[in-house]
Amino acid sequence: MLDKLYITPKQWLRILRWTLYSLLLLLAILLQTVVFGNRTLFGTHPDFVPVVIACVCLREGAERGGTFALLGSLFWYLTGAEQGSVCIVTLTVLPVVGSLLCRTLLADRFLPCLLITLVTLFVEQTAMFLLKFFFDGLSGMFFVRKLLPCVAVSLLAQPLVYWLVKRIAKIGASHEST
Amino acid sequence: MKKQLSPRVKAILILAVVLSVVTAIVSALFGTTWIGKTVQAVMTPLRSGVSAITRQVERYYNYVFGYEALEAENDYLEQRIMQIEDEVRTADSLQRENERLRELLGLSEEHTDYRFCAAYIVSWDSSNWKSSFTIGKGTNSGLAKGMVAITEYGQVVGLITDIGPNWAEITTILDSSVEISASIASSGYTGVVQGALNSGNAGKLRMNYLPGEAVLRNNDQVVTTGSSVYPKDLILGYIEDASFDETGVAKYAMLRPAADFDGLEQVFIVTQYVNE
Repeated sequence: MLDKLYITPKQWLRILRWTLYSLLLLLAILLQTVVFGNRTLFGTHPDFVPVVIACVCLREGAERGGTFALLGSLFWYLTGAEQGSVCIVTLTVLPVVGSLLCRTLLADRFLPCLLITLVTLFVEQTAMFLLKFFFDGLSGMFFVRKLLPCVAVSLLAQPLVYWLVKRIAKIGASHEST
Repeated sequence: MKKQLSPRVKAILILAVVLSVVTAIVSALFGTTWIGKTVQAVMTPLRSGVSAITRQVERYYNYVFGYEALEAENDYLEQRIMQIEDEVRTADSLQRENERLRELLGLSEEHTDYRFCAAYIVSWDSSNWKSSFTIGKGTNSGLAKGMVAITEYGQVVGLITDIGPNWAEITTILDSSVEISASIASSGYTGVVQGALNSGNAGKLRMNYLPGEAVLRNNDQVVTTGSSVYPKDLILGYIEDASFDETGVAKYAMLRPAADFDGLEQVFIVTQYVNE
């Protein structure tokens, strides 16, 4: 019984890696809702959560990354994300599909990751815009004035997040490759 | 790519769709669930901490980089104080002096029936879709859904739309979902004030259903008419522009909100008042 409770060094490293990914996501949520909640960057509120989820998912692959994306987007929804439950679908499906594409068609590098993050951000924001457009009578100009700048500004964080995720992914990587 | 689509990946994708649909239905039927409220309650201390750090950093930044601006402001304020002191000295009647002093009295003394609960803002809604923020007090402090949040000057900020034990979400009057019955203080015309966020006029208010013959002047003050959820005569904003609405029968007015939302750090929730 006690043997089963023993955690190997490999498992410790894995726990550490996923804890750091989770902290990165939590940091993104806090930055987004507290620091940039009442402040704008170039006239828009940045959206960092899709950037973190997309980068982790692309780095860890569709299975483990997809699980992280699902749990992360669910947590983001539960913290009161204005995007509503639609964010669970967009923030899980798009990074998973992106991850599969990266593994099969594109190289697992920075530029494909940037592209997938851009698509994730764009689709997530557009889905929300369309819902608001049809159900709440949101002005069409909103798309140009707020959403496109939001996607562009959020994407500015991608190189830093990509680098951080790359560093975190190295924890325990040598154990897993063997 | 088909090979990569393992059963586990398929399960994740299906689960995402199912969870999204289920949470949307549950949210529409029951509002915020207990899981959501628990997550919000756990996040509130974290948000309060980060909010406090952000405020300190901002103050330090303003002190370092805004020193010249502060100096200029200080000069201007000193001149203004001298001007006001001069005015006070030349005041010729006790009545006028009394009136001015009464204006300076706090809101609490003006409205003795009001009971307030002061709360700091811990986070703002980060999206471009909605104008709301979260405060670090909830049902444990006697707050309830629907209560009105104001500034220390009696300017309406918003209404509590969601609440937990140690947090409450306040949707501001800038949000299009908030509608408040209001009247123009000088003329008495009544209408409904709504946030103009969705119509592309972020940061403005729109007063609808004003009579077609209403005479509207710029800078006319618009106040609440009072209801079971908020007291009367709270300041909503000032008229900036007016015109006939889409029907061509009624008029509408665009308002500049009275409260300064950019510099908002603390709000006061009216927990009790006498409805006359």
